[in-house]
Amino acid sequence: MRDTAHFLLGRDSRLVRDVSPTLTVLEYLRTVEKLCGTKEGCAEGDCGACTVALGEIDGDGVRYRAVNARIMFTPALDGKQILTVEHLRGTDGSPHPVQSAMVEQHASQCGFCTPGFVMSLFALHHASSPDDRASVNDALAGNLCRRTGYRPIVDAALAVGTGRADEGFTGDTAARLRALDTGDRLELRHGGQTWIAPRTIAELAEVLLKHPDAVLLAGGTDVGLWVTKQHRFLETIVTLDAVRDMAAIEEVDGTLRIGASAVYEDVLARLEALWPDVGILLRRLGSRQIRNRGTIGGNIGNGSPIGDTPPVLIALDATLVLRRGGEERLLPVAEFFLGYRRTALAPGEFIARIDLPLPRLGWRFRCYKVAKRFDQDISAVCGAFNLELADGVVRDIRIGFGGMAATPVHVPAVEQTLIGEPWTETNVHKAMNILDATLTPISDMRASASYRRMVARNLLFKLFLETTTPAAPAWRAWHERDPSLWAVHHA
Amino acid sequence: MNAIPPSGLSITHDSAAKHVTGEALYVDDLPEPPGLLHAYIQLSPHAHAKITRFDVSAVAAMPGVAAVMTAADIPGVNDVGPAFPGDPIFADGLVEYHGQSIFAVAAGSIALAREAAARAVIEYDKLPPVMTIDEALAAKTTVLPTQVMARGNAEAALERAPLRLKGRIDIGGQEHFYLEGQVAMAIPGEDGDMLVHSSTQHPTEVQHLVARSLKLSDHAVICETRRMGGAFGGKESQASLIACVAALLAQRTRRPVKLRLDRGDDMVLTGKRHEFRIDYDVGFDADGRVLGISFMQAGRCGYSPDLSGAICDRAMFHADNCYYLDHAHIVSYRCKTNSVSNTAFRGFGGPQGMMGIECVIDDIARHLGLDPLLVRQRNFYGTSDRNVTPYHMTVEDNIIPELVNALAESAAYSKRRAAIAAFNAKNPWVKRGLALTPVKFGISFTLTHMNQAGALVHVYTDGSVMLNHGGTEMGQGLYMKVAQVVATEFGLSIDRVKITATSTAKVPNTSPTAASSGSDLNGKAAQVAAIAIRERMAGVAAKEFGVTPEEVAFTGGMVTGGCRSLSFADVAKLTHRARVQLSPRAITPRRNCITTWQRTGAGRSFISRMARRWPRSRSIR
Repeated sequence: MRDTAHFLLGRDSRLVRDVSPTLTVLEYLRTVEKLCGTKEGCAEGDCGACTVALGEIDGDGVRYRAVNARIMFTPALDGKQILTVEHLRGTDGSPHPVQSAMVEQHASQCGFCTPGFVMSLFALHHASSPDDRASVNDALAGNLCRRTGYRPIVDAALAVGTGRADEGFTGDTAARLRALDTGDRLELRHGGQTWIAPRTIAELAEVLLKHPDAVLLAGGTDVGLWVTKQHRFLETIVTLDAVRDMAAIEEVDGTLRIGASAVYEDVLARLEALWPDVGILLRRLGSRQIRNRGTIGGNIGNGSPIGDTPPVLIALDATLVLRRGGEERLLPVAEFFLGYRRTALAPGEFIARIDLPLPRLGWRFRCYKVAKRFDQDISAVCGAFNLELADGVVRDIRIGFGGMAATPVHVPAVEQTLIGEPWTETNVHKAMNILDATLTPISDMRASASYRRMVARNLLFKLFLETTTPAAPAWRAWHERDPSLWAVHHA
Repeated sequence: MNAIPPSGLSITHDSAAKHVTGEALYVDDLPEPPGLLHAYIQLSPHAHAKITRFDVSAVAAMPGVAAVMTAADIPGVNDVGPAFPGDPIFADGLVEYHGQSIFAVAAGSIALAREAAARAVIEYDKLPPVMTIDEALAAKTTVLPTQVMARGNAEAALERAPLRLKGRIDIGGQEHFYLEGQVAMAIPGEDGDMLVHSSTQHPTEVQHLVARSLKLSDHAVICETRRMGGAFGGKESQASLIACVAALLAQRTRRPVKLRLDRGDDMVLTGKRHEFRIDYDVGFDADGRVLGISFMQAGRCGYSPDLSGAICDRAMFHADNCYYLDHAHIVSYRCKTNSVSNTAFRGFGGPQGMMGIECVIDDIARHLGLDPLLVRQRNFYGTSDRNVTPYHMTVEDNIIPELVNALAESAAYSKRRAAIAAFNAKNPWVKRGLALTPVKFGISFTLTHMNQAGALVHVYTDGSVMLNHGGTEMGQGLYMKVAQVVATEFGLSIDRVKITATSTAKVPNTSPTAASSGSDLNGKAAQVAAIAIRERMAGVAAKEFGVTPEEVAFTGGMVTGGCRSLSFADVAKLTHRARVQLSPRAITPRRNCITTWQRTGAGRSFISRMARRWPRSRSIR
């Protein structure tokens, strides 16, 4: 066991022990390290002003991910490298090509969001040089600028080209990160708080049995806000950051198995290939910074009525693999949500895996997110539909909704009305009426109850139109369609 | 040398290289002085309530708390109203909006200050709040007197008009979301002086209000603003309260104090864009031409006047947008509601005023089945007739008809319109639309005396130049623009001109950087100052060269006359040796913006972008 977090700050090693486990990385940078280039805009992972790059071992090299420093806790840096806008200059002091391009393209105005944009673009360019506006937009959806109108920033991203800077921080980083790994578990204690970072599922199970009241941190894109916005004091935090054997994605016997600690960004391509609408939804659910930390397991375990993946998982008939100590049990996802933020998890139990049946021929899957903003807003209503048609008759349909009740909901009553019936406008209208009678959403700041009901009805009708009208794909707003179309619209 | 002067070059933002490397310092990034305290403001949980019990003794008693500041503790005036009184720094017995500042705590950390604030014992007697515009109109609660603007006889014209429509539009508010939240750091000095680093569009006002609340003379307070991380009007008057709270706590503790609002607190404590309700009654002919119109504009000002007078005035000034309104009557209610005091926001009431008439034009088009663009074009201001605004100013240099024609053509408006009509005919569920909407916007402050600026230019004996002016930098590139003006006057390259933070100690009594006037006012002031130095240097150089001052030219870093030339630096040295002053300060008043619009007479409210006039007289000190 180790009581000190080991990480690299730029090119320098850091051993951190005497900090609160909930000290955010941004606070650490600005107050402990006096690195003030990284800014606080919203303190909730929406605006991206606090974006930094997190370096992790990836094969022989290092992979950099953009993350929001203000909602990430400092001990989560353990075993990683953190780069801020101050670290990008080459060893000769020259600016990074991303930085030069931002200057040349007049991409900064007030400059407060600029460091965040620079770090998002750095991570993007480090992975591969983008050659289209769509991939740049996707990488920058989590960075808010109130002045430039974004065009010069996207221009800068495209103007960087393929030239690599003299990246002094990469050379031996992988080796140095490996050297940081002492092979034992981090348990950091400070001021009545404990941070525990188990390294395997077995260790996790054992730790949670010992600390059933601990907050299980699966990315922290929501838990971070408990601290930064609600100023909650979290006593014991068990993090999935170091659990290595729970992030795998694999196909086994017609089932897609997703490890509960896999981050969105790592499952996105796989899910998008199987269900294109899920790809669109995940892009909108969170920016790249959020997707680089957030997990589907966290989204489910959180038990929120407006999480965006539960309706999808309900429609896809997912099964959760829950584990407590050495015991595993299976539970259909629709049965997981018991009440407002109340789940079927027993004390010490956790979600280990999500199993999804692979799509079969004849199934059409659609999901729709209705929110006030397009990118990374919380849904007013999210509807997911998995429909199997045979000769114009509904052979099967599964429907999941978010934002329509105190939990994500499955609506079998509506499904039963449709199954075995012709897929016609009249029958769909009947089902819409049943939907109306089944769900009683609340009014809140995101939407009124009547608006939510109307949207839910209309999403079912939208599904009908999209599955019966050849021209339907063209109706979707351009940004909801295949990303390859983005470039055309932005040109 | 025929190189393009710096004023004609596209130069990157003065801080671009620092922005991208994180080296540009905002207030929260400044090195923290030893002993710095952090302040937290406790906000009201009620929209309208009497405070019946107010006990902060437990707050002050908490270990680590350095000071608690309440209304009763303010040595000077408990008000930061920019134009009219009514914005208390701390509520004094009465709270008038949810989120109003009640008291403040300074402690070693923000977390500690927040925790301490929660220990206050405050009891309220809730009063019924007035929340919406409709409620305020019904209750006749206003923050300022109702205003009327009229030309012709709208009532008679409406009676006569062959066609008539009535309608209403409700326009929502808007949060500025400047990326950098409100922040100030106050550092006490000798003799009780106070230095305030503030993220503000109006350093002079911060200086004056800090002085007033601390019971100091203006000369004892310096406000400095190097840059803002965005403002959008949200830091024109709203930065004052933040700066005053920091300064009051700094005065009390004799320690530096920083106050940076959390985003959530910032959103509830500080003002936003004015919501508006606009009712209209329009008479028009079969061609869609407006014959008479009556507008009722009601702005949701919140609990205090703040800048609402000028904002609601500007909504009235823009009720016409680009259209000639033959007989117009505009009444403006400045509604008082128990909500945050709404404030300046990009456009300053102009967009709301324009929304009203644009809604009218669309209504007319729908009623007559005409293309809205056609109705717009038919109502455009004329060039020789139909060219007087409802506020009796003649529209000059009107290019709107040609401009819109050119745009409609280059955008293939009619082709697109036809394609959209065809699509809509075919698609029952998804519809498309198209609009081409012009904007006429008034440049300059509607309060005459605010249309002035000051600049300070130093030439050092090595030929380098330091520039300071009253404008603030919030991303718009003002600093670089003004530097380009100065470099051009001296014939120097831009790197010879040093840009410095806006400071009330260098240029006093300035106007806010607002009203689309920052570049014009400050650029002109800096130009006047630079020309004054150049003329003095030309006099010295002329003597040296044996030519007349008119024959001396400043280009490419050189000063030439006859067949001789010297470097700019050498001439600066000569000028200094000749005991001629190399540091003037200039102010420029801007002519022709008088606002006698109210009720009667002709006047000139705005400067046309095309016909900008500068005063011949200027003062050099």
